[in-house]
Amino acid sequence: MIGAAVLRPDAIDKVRGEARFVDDLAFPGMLHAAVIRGTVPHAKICKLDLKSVSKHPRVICTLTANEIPGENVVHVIYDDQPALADEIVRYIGEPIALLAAEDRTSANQAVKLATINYEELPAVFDSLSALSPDAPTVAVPAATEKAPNLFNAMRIRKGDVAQGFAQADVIVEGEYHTGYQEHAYLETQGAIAVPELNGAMAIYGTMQCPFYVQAAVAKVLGLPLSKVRVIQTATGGAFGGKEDVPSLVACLAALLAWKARRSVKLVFDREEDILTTSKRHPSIVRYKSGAKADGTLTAIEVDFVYNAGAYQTLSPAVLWRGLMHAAGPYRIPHVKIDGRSVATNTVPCGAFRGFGSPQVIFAHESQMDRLAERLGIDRLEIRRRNALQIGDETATKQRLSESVGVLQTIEKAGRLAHWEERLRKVEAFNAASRDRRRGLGISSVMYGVGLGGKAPFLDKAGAYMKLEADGSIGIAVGTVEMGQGLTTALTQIASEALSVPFDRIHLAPVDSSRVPDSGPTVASRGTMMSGLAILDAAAKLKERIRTVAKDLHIPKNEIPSRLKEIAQAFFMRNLDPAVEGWAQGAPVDWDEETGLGNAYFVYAYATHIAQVEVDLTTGEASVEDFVAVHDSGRIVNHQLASGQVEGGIAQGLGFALMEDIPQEDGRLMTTGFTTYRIPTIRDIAADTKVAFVEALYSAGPFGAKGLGEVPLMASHTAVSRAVAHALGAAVNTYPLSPERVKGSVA
Amino acid sequence: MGQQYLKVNSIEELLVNLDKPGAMVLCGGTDLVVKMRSGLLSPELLLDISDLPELREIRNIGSKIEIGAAVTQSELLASEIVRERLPLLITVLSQLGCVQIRNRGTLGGNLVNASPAADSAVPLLLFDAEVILTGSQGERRLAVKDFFRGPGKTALSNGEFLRAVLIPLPNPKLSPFFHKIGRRKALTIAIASLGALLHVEGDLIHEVRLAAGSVAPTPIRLRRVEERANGKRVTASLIEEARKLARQSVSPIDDIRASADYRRTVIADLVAHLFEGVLHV
Amino acid sequence: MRIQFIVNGRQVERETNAETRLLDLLREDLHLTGTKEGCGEGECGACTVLLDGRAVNSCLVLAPQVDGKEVLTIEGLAPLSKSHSRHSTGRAKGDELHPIQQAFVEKGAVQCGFCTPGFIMSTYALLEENPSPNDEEILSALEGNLCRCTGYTKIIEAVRYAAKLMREER
Repeated sequence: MIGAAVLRPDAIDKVRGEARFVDDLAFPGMLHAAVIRGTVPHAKICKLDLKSVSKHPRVICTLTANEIPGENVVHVIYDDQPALADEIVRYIGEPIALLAAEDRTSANQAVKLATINYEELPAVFDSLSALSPDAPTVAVPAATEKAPNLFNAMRIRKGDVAQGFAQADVIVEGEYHTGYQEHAYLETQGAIAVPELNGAMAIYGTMQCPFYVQAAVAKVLGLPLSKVRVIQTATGGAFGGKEDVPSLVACLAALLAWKARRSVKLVFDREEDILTTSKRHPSIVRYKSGAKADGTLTAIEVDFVYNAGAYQTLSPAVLWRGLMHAAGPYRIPHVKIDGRSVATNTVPCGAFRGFGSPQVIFAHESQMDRLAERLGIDRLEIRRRNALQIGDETATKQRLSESVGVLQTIEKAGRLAHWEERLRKVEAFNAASRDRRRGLGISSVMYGVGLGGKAPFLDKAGAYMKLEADGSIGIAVGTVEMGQGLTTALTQIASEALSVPFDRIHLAPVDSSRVPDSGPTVASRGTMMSGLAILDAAAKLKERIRTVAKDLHIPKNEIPSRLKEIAQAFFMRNLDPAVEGWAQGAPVDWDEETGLGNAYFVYAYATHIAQVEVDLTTGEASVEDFVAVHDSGRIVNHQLASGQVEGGIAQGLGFALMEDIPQEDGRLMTTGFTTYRIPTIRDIAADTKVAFVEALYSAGPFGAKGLGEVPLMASHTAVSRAVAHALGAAVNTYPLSPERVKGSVA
Repeated sequence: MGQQYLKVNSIEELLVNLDKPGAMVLCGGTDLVVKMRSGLLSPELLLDISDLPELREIRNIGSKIEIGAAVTQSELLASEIVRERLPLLITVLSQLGCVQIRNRGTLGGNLVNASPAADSAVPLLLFDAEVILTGSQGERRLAVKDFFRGPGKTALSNGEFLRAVLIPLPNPKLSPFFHKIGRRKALTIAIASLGALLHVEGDLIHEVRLAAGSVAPTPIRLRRVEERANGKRVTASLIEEARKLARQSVSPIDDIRASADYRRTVIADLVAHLFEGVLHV
Repeated sequence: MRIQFIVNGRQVERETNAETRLLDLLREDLHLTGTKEGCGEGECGACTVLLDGRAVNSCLVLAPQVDGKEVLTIEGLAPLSKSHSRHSTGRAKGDELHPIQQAFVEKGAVQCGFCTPGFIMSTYALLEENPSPNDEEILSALEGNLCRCTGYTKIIEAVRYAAKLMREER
């Protein structure tokens, strides 16, 4: 069953158009919410007049910050973001007030009837300006006197970089810039709040983290956690964008439902979603690398700054992952890394596939190529020589004891791409072509699976499992299906563990009342953590099944085929057929001062190779060919896994070549898919090869690690380095639009 | 709000209603419906011409083709005569939007919308096509180049509608060229586009016509380049002059898609590239 | 105003107005929620339906415009199949799939599933007109449908496979 080709059960509902996404649901008497939002980047709210809104014949109620029954916060990490701005607005699009109307059109019309008077305050939009001591203070509370907007500063100190650079034969320095990336999940954010008996509130919504939503709604309504029930609806893509934002969406819907005493639906349209929800942090990364003549890395010094937007939300965690991933999958004796996240009057940035790592990966992989070029070493070879192996120490001095497949990914990718032969072909093409150039790019990455040493308390998961009277199995878990195929992979794991056929097992969508807090569905941890919880539950259930079987004189090897008989015995004898499984991540530790420690319990790895062709006349770059090799331990389902990889490649290609949100004075300039461009079916490579090397992880379910985020992390730099190779020029800023590429040609 | 919808059954019915306040012609709706939703346009009376038989014909009249305003882009792509005689139009339309858009969108609509980036305007300018405008006073014909008055602005007067586009069949010796630069390879709005009809023999340019989109308030012909190149042999100095003249012929703006400077340079380089191609056949 | 049209083979009559889009009419009045709104401006294809046999974005069609016409949505597809799915184990009867739906399931072309109905309708329009499309024709037919999960590779495979299944069905 593990590694077998099974069809995902949810796909059948989805191809029939019968999977119910949040906007497909309706409850009796349901109202439609709309959000009245700030239109200036930084201001005191002097007057908020909703009289005309209330007079709209189909508006049932409005709600402002002073009416909130609980705390006016969206609980994430530091609780600095209000559900509704009360005195100050800190970014364009910040929620100020709410309304509920009898239909969606009226709700959207009524929003325009609100009058808000502001006293505008000085505002700051880019991270470097915001770091200046005399910048307007955005952060609440101000961080320090010298740097009021410095949300977070974190560091790693290993060895002595001065010594490391002194040992180097060559040193390269670079500065790299990336902009916003929007998740562009096809289903926008949405939630329905449904008042339930006994003053409880149920939330139906599209989300990654039902338990975050539960905590946030309980806090804003002033309810005990036990009275908030969160049910995840079919989720139309997330990619990190539905990690923290659904907490805000659910809070807003819940506040109106509490006031109106009726069900309330809040679904964002695409413009609202793009303009007001989280994005990938814009970054500036300064990177200095030293290597010996044979390519051996001696030291790196990295300083990076992320623009966090007006509130912290997930920025501390994003920054930490960036810090942990800034060295790449390489052996480096001397390491100095500093990361900062900074408050500005812009939309709060948050989680996006890779979670703070793609920005530093762009830098570390570009640096590797530049070292290779300076030293006259092949780019694949320099990665091979520095790749981490079992027994090596990471940048945080973590000793790797098992499951390190990065070298195999490099070598296999090289073989699949026919690296050397292809390099020669590319050179021959370029020599013969007047107006087009081809290039090859390679990128290797490592990824810490799970939440790591900064938040070990989140790495847990529960599973509820019951044997039905007909021998079928019902399972509930706390991590979500958002398209990645988790339900299928977990069903396969349960099927293997229980020796029960795949289609006799049903995994219900997440309902927070059925399982304990299982942490978020992020950090590529779903298969591993819920998989382990299922294994734990399965072991307990099998033990009971064996006891009953023994009693019935059923030999062990006949248990699978006679499970129905055994289940009947459970039923007739009033035996408990339900078990709970529990999993927690292996121990991690991390020292804030030095930045050293066992940051994650295990790492996944990948190497991608891309071939591009650039039109020198126009600067248009096109990805022709792609090879992706991953080590995520045991692959539970190859079709799902390769689907994750192919999707990550496309998102990375978009990040590198086309996706961009220009910002003018805090106003985002893309308002929809007409201006925010993601890859179409014509933009992907004509040929994409995906392969796996399975360096098994002993503590993972059947040796599995994590996969979800890794493909995006590796792909964008393979593309951008291929463009740099084609141009023979530096490529330091994303996206590589035709204009930017043409600028590099000249 | 409170807007009315009328499916018109004849040109007479259309003309009568066009005079009413807030009346607007609706055909494929691919632009209009988006603009209505975003509040950019709020017509009070929508006059749907999409099923009007008189406007749905492609007619071959002697040396010209007349295309009714309600003919969809997909229908044009499937039309035998268009495929045979106007291959440039086929090239351009097959890159316009996507199937779903082309199944609704029309040539007339693309022109009336008067976007500086209107893809279909480029070939029509190159064909020296005309639009036929009909009003209660009668009909008038206007060169496509005179139809555009600026971004979103056309020569249509109140009470008038675009009935058809009239395309003189070009000399079959003119071979088509079209390059649209976008952020991505499909379903994209041109950052800049260059179209051409070119008749060369060896390195001798018998005739060249050039038009560009997204580099001026309206799509434009690059007449100065054409005048310089027609009847000449392609030489390095001609290429450089063409590049310079093309650069001078455009007046682009900075927007979120690209800078004016890039647009100027890329159009000039595409023109030069086109002529260089003559030398490298 | 009152309109009459055929949806999924059934004649319906509804009261509507010029501000209602076909998408709203399908989802809200007819409860055919398989057609999705992804962008509302004809850029993503999630709302693709067939109007008189042609793929259109239902967010760009006004409800009154379908008066007298025929609309096919994702919900109407499975009943059009002549053969039935082979892979609906563990489910109640009535879960039959059209070969295109079957192909999308089998080839792993479905992840989050939000774009899926639109892709399947675009594929249906293509294969009805062109039973043996080459890859270029497949790209042309699907370039108006955005997917953020799959990277499209498996969707292309599914369309090739669906064409084969449908040819076998004929």
